[in-house]
Amino acid sequence: MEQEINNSEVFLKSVLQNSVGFSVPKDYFNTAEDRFSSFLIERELPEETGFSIPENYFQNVEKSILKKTGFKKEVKVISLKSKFLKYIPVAAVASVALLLSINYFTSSTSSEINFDTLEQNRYRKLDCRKLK
Amino acid sequence: MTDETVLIEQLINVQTREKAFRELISLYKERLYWHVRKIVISHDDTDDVLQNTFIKIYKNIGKFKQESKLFSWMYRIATNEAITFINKRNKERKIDISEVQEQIVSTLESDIYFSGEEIQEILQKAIASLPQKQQLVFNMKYFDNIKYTQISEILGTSVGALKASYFHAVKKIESYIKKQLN
Repeated sequence: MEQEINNSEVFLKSVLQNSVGFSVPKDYFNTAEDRFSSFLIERELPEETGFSIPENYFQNVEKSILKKTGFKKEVKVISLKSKFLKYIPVAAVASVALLLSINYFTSSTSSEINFDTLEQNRYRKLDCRKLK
Repeated sequence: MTDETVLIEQLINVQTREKAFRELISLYKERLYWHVRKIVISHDDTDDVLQNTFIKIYKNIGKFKQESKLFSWMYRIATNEAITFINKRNKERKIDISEVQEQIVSTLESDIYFSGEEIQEILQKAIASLPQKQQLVFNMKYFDNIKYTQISEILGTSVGALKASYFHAVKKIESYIKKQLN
C-alpha cells in the first residue's frame, strides 16, 4: 500500500507541481488581524443607543401626521370588477337552465296530444293484437 | 512552559487576551485559510468561515484542555465550521453534498481568485468527486503534509482508517486525472 501511495504521489506532483491554483485578494492576509478581531471592538460597544421617546409617541404620531396633511379617514374601496366576476358563474348556470327549459317546452308542444295522435295509437294497438 | 502554553494563558487572562488573540490570528491565519479554502472553494465563503472560526476559538479557549496541540484543536474547529457551512449551503439548495461541490468546482473558470491552469481545475473536480472524509484527508496529507496522528486528532478518526482513506483518495485522483489527460 505504501509503495502504491508513493507512486501515485510522484505522479500527482509531476503534473500538479503542488499548486491548487487558488489565489487571494491583494493584502488579504496583511489586514487579517484587524478584520478577524473586529468583533472584539463590537462587543465593547453599548447595545443601546441611549435615545428615548415621549410616552405613547407611536400611538399619537400617525394621528398628528394625518391631521397635518388633511387626509380624511381611509374609505374602503370595493372593486366592481371583483363583484362582477363573482356573478359570472351564476349567470352562466341560469342561462343554461333557461335554454334547457325553452327546449323542453318547445319539444312538448310538437308532441301535444290531440285527436289524431289518439287515433294513431288506437290503430297501432289493434294491429298488435291481430299479429298475436 | 512552551510558547503555546504561554499563548493559551495569555488568551485566558482578561488583561492580555486581546493582544494574544491578535498574535494567534497572525500565527495561524494563513494555514487555517488554506485549509478552509480547500473545503469551501470560494474565497468569500472562506473569509466568512474563517471569521466564524476565530470567533469560536476566542469564545472557547477557556474550554481547551490541552489534551491535543492548539493547532489541532483550531484545525478541528475550522473543519467543523467549514463542514457546517457547506451542509447549510446544501440544505438551502436542496441538493446532495457531492453535487454542490461539483457545481462550485465547475464555476472555477469564472472565479477571479482561481488562477490555476486546466490541470488544477481537473484536480479540483477529482477531489470533488471523492467522499467528504477522503477529500479532507487528501487535502491535509497531500497539500499540508500533516501527520496521520494530527489528522486523527482533528477528524477524530483512527490512524488506520485515515491511511486507508488516503490510499483510496490518491488512487481515485490519479485515475481521474489520467483519464482526463488521455
